Amino acid sequence: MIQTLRKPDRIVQPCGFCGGCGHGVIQRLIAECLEELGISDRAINCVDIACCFWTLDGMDLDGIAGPHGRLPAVATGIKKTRPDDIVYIHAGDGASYTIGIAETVHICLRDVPVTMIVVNNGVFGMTGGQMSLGTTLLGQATTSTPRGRNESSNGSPGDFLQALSQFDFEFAARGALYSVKEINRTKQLIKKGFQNQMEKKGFSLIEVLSACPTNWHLSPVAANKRVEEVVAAQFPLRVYKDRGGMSDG
Amino acid sequence: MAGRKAYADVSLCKGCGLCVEACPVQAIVQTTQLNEKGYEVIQVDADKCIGCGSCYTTCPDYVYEVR
Amino acid sequence: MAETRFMKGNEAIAEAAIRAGCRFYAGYPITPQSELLEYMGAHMEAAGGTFVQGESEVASISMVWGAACAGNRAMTSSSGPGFDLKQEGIAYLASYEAPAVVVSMMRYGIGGGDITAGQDSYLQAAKGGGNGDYRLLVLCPNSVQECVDFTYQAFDLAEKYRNVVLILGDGAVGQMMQNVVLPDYVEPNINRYDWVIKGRAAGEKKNKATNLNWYMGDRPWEAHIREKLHRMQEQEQRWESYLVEDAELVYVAIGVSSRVAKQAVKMGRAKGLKLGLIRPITAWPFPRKAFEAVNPDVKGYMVVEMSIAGQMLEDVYGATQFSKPAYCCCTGIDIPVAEDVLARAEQALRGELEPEVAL
Repeated sequence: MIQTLRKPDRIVQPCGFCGGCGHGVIQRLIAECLEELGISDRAINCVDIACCFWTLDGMDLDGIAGPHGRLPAVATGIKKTRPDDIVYIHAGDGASYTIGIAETVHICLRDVPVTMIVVNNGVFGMTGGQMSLGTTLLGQATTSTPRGRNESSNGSPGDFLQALSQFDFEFAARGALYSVKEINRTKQLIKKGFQNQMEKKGFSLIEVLSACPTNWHLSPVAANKRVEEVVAAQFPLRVYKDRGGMSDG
Repeated sequence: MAGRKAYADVSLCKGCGLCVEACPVQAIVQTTQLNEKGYEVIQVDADKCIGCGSCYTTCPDYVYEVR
Repeated sequence: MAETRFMKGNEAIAEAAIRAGCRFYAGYPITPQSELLEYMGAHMEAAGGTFVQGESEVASISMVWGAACAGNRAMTSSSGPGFDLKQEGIAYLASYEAPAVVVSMMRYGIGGGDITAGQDSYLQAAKGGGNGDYRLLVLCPNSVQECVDFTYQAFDLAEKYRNVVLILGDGAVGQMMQNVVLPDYVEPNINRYDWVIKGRAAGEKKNKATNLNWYMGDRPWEAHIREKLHRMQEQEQRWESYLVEDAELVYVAIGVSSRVAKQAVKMGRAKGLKLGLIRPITAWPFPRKAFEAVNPDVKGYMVVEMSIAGQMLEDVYGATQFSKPAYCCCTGIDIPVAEDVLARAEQALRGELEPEVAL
């Protein structure tokens, strides 16, 4: 039988993101994983304020939009109330690593069986492309660092996924979307995050390097190239921790 | 994958060009034709298409169905 | 079978919440309410619920926001600067009209203030504190039994109105110990309302826990909120009146101050002074109806409050429509003393005090 590739049924609106934005692909990967794993009927979408918000209505799931950066806490309250539901977070790097870093650290420490997908595009997309303190690269021009991020006044970005992976939780991995191969690999990482939750294992954190062509002022193709050549060199694509023993292949 | 082809709903297309870049057989071209939202959309050459699904995989706007 | 126990106010609130079916508590320790959190830590799990010591007050109220939207009876508690940090999440709860119970055991001061009892979070509690035009239903216990009773009722009220209910105590009420009668256990059901978020099959109507105006339309939503708040304002005013019908001066006080003021009324009456007391049980809605029963020839009102400049004063002026003078007996960091409260009333009745200006 020939396999048909078709948008999952749980995506019910045209994509609301800017052209070439990775969020739309991530939303689709999430919906595909839920569908393929047969867990769409149990899923709850926890979105952070900012661009991710478009998925609240885009996904035909019950959803919640929490205070900026607080989604790990919000998801904790939901998962503890409904342990048999599949609770996932769709958040950006600003929410997860800057304003909400305390919440992100503590969902790792508590090892709450939730799947968290962090879309790392290195800027504050929704508010107009300002610096994201944790992830904007040195020298990168943003609307709040128009002459490029300067180490002396803004410090340096950090690899939060690597830093967090020293804590005792289930799964941490980084994927990207700049090629068909990487998109497919990222899908496997997200799927693994959901499988962990189905198996009542602990917390899964999947970071996805994504392009923001609008705020990077690059064409979508050039923005993807930047992710491949520049961003992925700073933030390596690999599995950082896996208590279940997923290989890095 | 014999006979499988990509079909595009260009009303959803934002003309980002990622599928054009991803297509291994150059079956997708960027046109100057506008859709209702004012984006310049792509066009699929069905004769060249090998139904590999690269366009479906890369498209952030769910334009493609491959069947 | 009613059970009687000797308990501290803070612990009594926690026990009553568990008995009311609360199965999710998250909080961050802060004096003078930490016993509430500790009690939850000791007893919530045995009740089949979840206790989380949050990484902050902000995270704790966010957990409550998630748990409440998922259908749980959820609670958090704090005091002073910790209550400040809850405002973000409280406003989110209000945006979806998600019910939850929040406890504020007021402490003294501004900013960090001090760890001892105070009553100067009144305005923040009664008028809001987070973003937007919402109100909390604010219940003010002045005894350990009321800590139990109000907390027990709070979950039903929160769900009746889909509104956050605030238990507004003060450090003294929280630390006070008395015998209390405890109510029966209620078993919670997280699926009893159609607005909860959960996993749902394709084709079922989906709930999105966020600003409701996006789904109801701005104008209908605004009308809906306005109607609800007015309905609560009309139906939920609660108070205790004590000897107001013939009073020449009526104290208005909540919490620990109301206990002292009542004693001052008794002492004054023993000396032939016609004093009375209105004790608002709801700080919002403020019990304006209570003032209708007051002696029409009353010479004035006196707010007894552990604050600096008199926070409830403007509500008293509002309730009386500025028809009578109002005075303050503001004791700041000190718990009021009945003799001083009585002396202050005598001064007012002798015409030695200027009416207090509401800021």
